[in-house]
Amino acid sequence: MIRRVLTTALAAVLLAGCTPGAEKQPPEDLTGPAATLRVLAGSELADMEPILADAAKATGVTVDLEFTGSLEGAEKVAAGAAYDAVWFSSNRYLEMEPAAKSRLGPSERIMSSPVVLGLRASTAARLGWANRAVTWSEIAAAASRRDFTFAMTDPAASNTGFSTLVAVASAIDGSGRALDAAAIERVSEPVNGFFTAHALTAGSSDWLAGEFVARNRELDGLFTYESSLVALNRAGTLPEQLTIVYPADGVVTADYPLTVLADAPDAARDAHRRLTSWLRGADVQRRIGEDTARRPALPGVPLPAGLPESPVELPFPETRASLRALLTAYNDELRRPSRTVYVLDVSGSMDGDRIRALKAALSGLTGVNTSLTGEFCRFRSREDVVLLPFSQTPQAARSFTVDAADAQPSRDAIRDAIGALQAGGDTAVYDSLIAAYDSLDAAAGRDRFVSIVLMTDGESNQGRDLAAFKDFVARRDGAAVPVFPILFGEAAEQEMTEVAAITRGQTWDARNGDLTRAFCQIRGYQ
Amino acid sequence: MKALRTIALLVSVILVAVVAWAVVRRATASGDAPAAAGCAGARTRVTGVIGSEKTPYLNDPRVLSRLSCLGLTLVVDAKGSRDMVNTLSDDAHPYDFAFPSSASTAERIQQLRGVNDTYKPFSSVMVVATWKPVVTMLRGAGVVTTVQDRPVVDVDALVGLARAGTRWNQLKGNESSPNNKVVLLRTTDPKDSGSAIQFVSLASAALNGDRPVSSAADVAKVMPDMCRLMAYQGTKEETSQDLFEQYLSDGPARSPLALVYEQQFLDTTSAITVPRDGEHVMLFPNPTVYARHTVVPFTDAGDRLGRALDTDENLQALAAEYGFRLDGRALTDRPEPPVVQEPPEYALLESMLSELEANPSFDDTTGKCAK
Repeated sequence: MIRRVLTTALAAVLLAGCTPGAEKQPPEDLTGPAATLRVLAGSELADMEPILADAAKATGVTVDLEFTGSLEGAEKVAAGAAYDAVWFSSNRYLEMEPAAKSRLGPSERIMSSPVVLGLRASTAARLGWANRAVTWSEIAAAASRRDFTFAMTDPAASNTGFSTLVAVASAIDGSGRALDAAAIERVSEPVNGFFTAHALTAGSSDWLAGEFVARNRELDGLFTYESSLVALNRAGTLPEQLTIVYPADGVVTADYPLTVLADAPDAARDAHRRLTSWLRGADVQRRIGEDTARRPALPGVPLPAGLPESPVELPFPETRASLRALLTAYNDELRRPSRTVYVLDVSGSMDGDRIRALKAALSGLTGVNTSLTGEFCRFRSREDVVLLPFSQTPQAARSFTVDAADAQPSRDAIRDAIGALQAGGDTAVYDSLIAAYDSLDAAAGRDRFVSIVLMTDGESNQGRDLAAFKDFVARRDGAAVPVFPILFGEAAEQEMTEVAAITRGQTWDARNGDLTRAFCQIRGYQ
Repeated sequence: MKALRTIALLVSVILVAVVAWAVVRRATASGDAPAAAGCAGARTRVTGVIGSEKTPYLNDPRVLSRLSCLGLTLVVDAKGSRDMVNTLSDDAHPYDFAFPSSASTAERIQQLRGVNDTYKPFSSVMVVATWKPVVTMLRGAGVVTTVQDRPVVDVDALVGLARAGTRWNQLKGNESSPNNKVVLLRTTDPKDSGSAIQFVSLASAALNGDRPVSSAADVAKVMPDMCRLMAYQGTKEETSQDLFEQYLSDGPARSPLALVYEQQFLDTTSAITVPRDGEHVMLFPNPTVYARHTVVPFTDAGDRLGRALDTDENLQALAAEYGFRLDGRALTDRPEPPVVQEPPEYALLESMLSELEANPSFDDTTGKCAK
């Protein structure tokens, strides 16, 4: 009897000493010299900043995040931009650019989040999708019947848009393997139907989510990260909750590798090691799950509450050729075409270098910029481009439609018209904006993304003023048309910000920099 | 009553003694303890570039402290094999040693850096990490078979399914699954990773009638299928550690079959271990290959590190704890795989890899790899 009790007690003690929990090594000391890691990152990672602030306390490593889109990020890294590390939804785009890939150093996956569909609860119920598995074919069929409308980012600028495109095209192709150029041709018809319900586009997932909230009555849903949808539901700013639809035949998942650049200094590489070790600690992984609704990378850490097990992962095309084929097909065949009015200041102050810069930047969209992002900024097949130069009054608008069968001659004609612009006279910004609205309202073929780009280098001093323009927008019937002002020269920043705000557009700053880049980035919203 | 109190007293005395003993034992085991007599005084920093699968072992504080006792302060960077070779092509590379997982990568590095002597402190077998229901399903499809009383994944049969374009939800008993993907073994990217190189070794042998490819004609014969197996997967993980973590954290929907190192599966020491729930299953592919982890030293410090890993009892015991196989020691805890292939000759392996590294796609109409 006594012996049995003793044996049991001993066994209990010894076992306790042998369980992995008890034998675990003390946590590694991750402190070290104070260091700042300059990281080029995807915009959705802004929600990691509170966790990174604690990382700085624990490790001495301060993270300085600079946000950009996935494709543009890959291009910056390829061009040799001076950062210590990159942190995007995935390294896929970086790995497809040989010059970017060669700069990638050690990498640690931190977390993941699949790209899925968030639908207003009432829409999900109406479609009968609230409590059952739904396939991409069903989603595409309902979209082509316009049973719902959705927001999605531009695949050429942002990972969520590209992931959605890959998923819908792969699932509909149904061959069960990575898409190649031939498969893209096969699926163009049903995928084209899917995009007829695409009602809002954007260059960044963050902006898209913000606009979805602001325009909640116009749109039924959006394709974005599961984590962003959970955040939208938690924020309490939506009139009704979003039902998260996980397409049953598969998704594309972002896995957020935090990757130090191979040419970063030793101190940065050490900082990266300390930071990633800390971020991959079990407690921090659990917190990332709870605070950001991303899935932990570390096996054994439980999924954040309410998230289902990982869905099937669709294969992601691996070759640059298939990536290009997919984006080209999207731009020229699959997507809803756009109509954009370029309202261009050619007043006297634009004379000289400024008009030369404007002509060069805008001409970049006619096929002369051959960089990867430049290639996908070009005026696309089927697109309407309206040039509306102005000085003391709006001048005659010139409309061009890029020919679907033979695009380059149309682009050349646009370039000739840009080349003929001449500067002189005063600045009638608001009369010209109103003229742009009128030309959009008068146009035939309404099923397009419409927007206005306003490029001006100074204050309006002719015709109607901002108050009159506000009045015009408030009384205007029909769908919202966003205005995207580009700040240039001595542009009136305050007024332009207001113009963007009341039209649900956004300003782009090219005062110190790159007009070409501003024109290219706006393309994601057109 | 009295007897009970005596027992209780006795038990608590023993408890205290045992706990005290455990504490002392742990303190002496740690390298910081004064008991670490005979440790070297001076420390030399030794920097290496390693395959990711060895990161947990080489970061273990006990390994680091044992090395420290031997006079070495170890700093490692994990890299895929292609990256490793690229980095080491630069004469200004900062490393004292490289520690790839395959003999062929080691050979390439030896040639590159003019190194003769290497150390092979331990090895692993390539295995398939899978799931209990998947095994049942694949047995029905003839992919899981029994060889020498052991369940194995028949690589030839698996390739057959891919060739026929068979999907997971076409397998008997799995018709209601949403997984409409072609039945494939997940591998890492041959551009980056040593474990994908092991896959090329074993799959090319399976496709060559269970013999290592030994001529350019053999290579030409097996390449269309090799290409298909890589291209159908789309983008692949860069490191076996990432693939293994995904297998563990994302479940059977995402990773029904993944090629990993046996050591990763058997490791019971790392933060990342396989739950013993009966759901996680490890099978040998048939045939399989050995991954011979090889230290290629470039400096004296690198040489000391290689020798220490190879000969130090303490470090060898820790390697065994991490699931590695030690050469020349009886393995009572694990079986030998039924069929093991030698890797093909270096030049032939290289020619297959370089074709696969060009990101080929598979062309159905011609039945060939296309770039």
